[in-house]
Amino acid sequence: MTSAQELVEQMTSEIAGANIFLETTVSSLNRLSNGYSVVLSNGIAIACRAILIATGFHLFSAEKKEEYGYGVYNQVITNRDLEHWFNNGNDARIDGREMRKIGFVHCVGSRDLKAGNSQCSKVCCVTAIKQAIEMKEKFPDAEIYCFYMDLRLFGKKYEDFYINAQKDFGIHFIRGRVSEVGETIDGSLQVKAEDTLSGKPLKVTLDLLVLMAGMVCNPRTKEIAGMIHADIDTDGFLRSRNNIYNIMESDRPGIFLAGTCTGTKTVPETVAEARAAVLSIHNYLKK
Amino acid sequence: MRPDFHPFVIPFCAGMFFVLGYCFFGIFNIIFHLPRRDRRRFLVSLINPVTAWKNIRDIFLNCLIHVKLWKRNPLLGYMHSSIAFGWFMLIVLGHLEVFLYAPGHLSKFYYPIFFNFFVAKSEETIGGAVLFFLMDFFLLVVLSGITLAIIKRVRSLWFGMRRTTRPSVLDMVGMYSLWAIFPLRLLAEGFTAHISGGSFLIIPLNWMVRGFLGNEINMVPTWWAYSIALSVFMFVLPFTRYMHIPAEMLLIPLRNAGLCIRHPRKGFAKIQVLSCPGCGVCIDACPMSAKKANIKDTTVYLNRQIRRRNEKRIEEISDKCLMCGKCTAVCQVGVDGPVIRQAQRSLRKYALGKDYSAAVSPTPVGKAAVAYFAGCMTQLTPGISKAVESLLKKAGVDYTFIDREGGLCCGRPLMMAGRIKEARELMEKTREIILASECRTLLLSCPICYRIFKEEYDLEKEGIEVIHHSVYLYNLVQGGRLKPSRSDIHFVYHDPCELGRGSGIYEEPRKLLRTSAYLVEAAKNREESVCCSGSLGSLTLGFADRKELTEAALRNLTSDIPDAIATACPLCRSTFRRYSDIPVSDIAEVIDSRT
Repeated sequence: MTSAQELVEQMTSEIAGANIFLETTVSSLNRLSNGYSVVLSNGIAIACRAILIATGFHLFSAEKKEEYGYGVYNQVITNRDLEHWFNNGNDARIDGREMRKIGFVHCVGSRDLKAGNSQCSKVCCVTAIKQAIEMKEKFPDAEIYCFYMDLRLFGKKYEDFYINAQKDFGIHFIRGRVSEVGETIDGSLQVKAEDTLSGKPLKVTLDLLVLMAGMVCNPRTKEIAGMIHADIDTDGFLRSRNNIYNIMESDRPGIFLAGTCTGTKTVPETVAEARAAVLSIHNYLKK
Repeated sequence: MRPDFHPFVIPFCAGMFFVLGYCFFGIFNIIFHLPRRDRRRFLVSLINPVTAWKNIRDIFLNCLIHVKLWKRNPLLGYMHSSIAFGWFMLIVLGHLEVFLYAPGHLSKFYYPIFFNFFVAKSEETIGGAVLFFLMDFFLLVVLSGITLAIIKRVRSLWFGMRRTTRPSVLDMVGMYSLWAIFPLRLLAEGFTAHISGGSFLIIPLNWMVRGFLGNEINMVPTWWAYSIALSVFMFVLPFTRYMHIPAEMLLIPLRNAGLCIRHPRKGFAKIQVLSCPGCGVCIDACPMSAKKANIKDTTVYLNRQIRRRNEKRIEEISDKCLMCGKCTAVCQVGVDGPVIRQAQRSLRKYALGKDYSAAVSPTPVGKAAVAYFAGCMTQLTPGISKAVESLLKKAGVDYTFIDREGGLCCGRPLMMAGRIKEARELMEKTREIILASECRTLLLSCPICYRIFKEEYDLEKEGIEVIHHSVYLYNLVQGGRLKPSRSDIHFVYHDPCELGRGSGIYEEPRKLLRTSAYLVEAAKNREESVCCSGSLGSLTLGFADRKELTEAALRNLTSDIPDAIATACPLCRSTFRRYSDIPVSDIAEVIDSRT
């Protein structure tokens, strides 16, 4: 499998010659008669005809779903924390404890009107499966539970991944949302959920609970949208000219959109959209 | 020489008979529809001297003087009491005049109303300057009230009302006839001011408008117009908001008898609906009015729709309400909107009945003198239960967290949904948990639980004190068992509906908060605190609908630019947290962080 790091390096090498400013924000963005002027936080001003907004997403703050106990109980972490641990191998919550039972909660802040987000974050289902498998590999004796309301495994080979998780790794999938999380005296977690397939309430004691926090629009995206008066859609992401065949164009001339600034996306979708957006810009500049 | 009778009294008499007949029938109907127990209680209360005196006092203060309106806005209060009390005094003084000057005519009940016309028969001036002065004085008072009423239609903000109701057609007819009555009376009495007695108002008028008032031909038509204005007002009265005038006089004794609403359309509820003056104070008060589309779902419109028997709208309005009780808190006549709605909801037939009688009460975790019951809402906000537990440990309280392993619902949400039977079944089960814990104090974090435990569980009878953590923690601080240190943070305290308006607890949370932080007040607070709009009371408002309402509630809270928000309800806390720019904490968390 290619690592994300390698993928990014490969892609940046392909565009060698372009000016890349890292750690730089946009200070102001103004419409000119035939294009835009962009002032960057490093003081550089650029006059351009087209802009591609690719501001990405923000991870839903899991503290908002207080019933899951992130920020309240020590042993509750998020998908980001776990991924961090995979890469750095350094987290007292995992290292300092025997891992006998681990739980994953799907759809944290996704498909949840109470949290203000109706959208599906698309990547969490398969990420949970991936992380569950990785955890099983690290802790072969641990029992792993995934609490889900639906499994949306639409991508290429996702379903195979899911079957493997059950067949080869013995991961338990429980259809039912977690209702409450409590803490016992020794610091382990008591999770209450409903197994909707058996129709029975379920209580399980866990050593670690991983919350699959979903995607929300990056707040900075809204600031940039404000500078050029671009519209925000009802789902809180940027509005495209058309959500079906023209998702990478905005209503403003010369403003193009790619990736999760217009909604939740997987990596393949984002890459494809980015390429499509670049092609649209090319055609726009030729006009 | 004028006769004792003139045809122009006929419209007045017809209107008078009609309205008296209607009211008599109405009183009979309402009392008849009271459940037998309530009816007995009401009739007994009438002969009890204590309640009888209270009835008279309340009717005088509320129906005539409108003390509550004075407190709300002096101009609004003056406007109402000048019309009500002024008119009342005109009637009383009118009868007194007849009694003194023409005692033989007291049996003709139109006589005092048209006294000035009839006593002028001898064309001899009669004496009695004081009485005439008073008559003129109160007429002037009423006229000033009418003037204010006209101004109010255009400039309601002067009277402290941002929005008022839109009157129905009949309301308009009633209103215009009411406005017409007193100027016409002034004019009519002006004809005979020099003979049948007048004072500072009508005598100068008689001089000034000599051209009109000096001509006898104009006199009878003016008296006709006066009588017709009265008649129109009385004929439309039962079908307009002016029905509140007679209705409130029955509502007050019924309320003083301690009755409660058992059916949304009959008996006590009906008299409440009829007592609604349609002033629209509840429109500005209602938290849902932050969204213009919801204005027609406020209590004043519920009452109107109930009177029109518009079933579809009654259901919609009843289901939408957040049940925060603010309309009741501001209502001048005390119409209990949420209770009417709850009664309306209880009429609904559900296809699938829920049966909780077979539910098993979970066994409480341990036994101790103090039982902490978090309830569903605090289970969903573990930060609060953690803080309460931490404080109890710091204070060295011997307690047990009885629903740590799981509990049952207190029943209040079902109660508010009108599903009384199901709620009772659930409450029975929850009661078993409490009793099994053998506690003497039941400590609660959720005001929703608190209210129903207090009102419906009869735990005091078992020797169990029901207490909310804001009060309990304050007592611990007072007793020196908790010693929070002060911080420089400025908190605004949000009064949760169920704790404040629902249970009357306003002071302890504020005093508790002051022990560890500075306290600022919201623009509207205490009885008029604005619901966070996360309430379980509404059956139809979705999250998207509530967002705007919560944001409006937040604007009200943060008017004094506090650093953080403190509240004492897990539901308010989660609702505000969703949209607040500043931190929102429960009062227990605030104290715990400083202890």
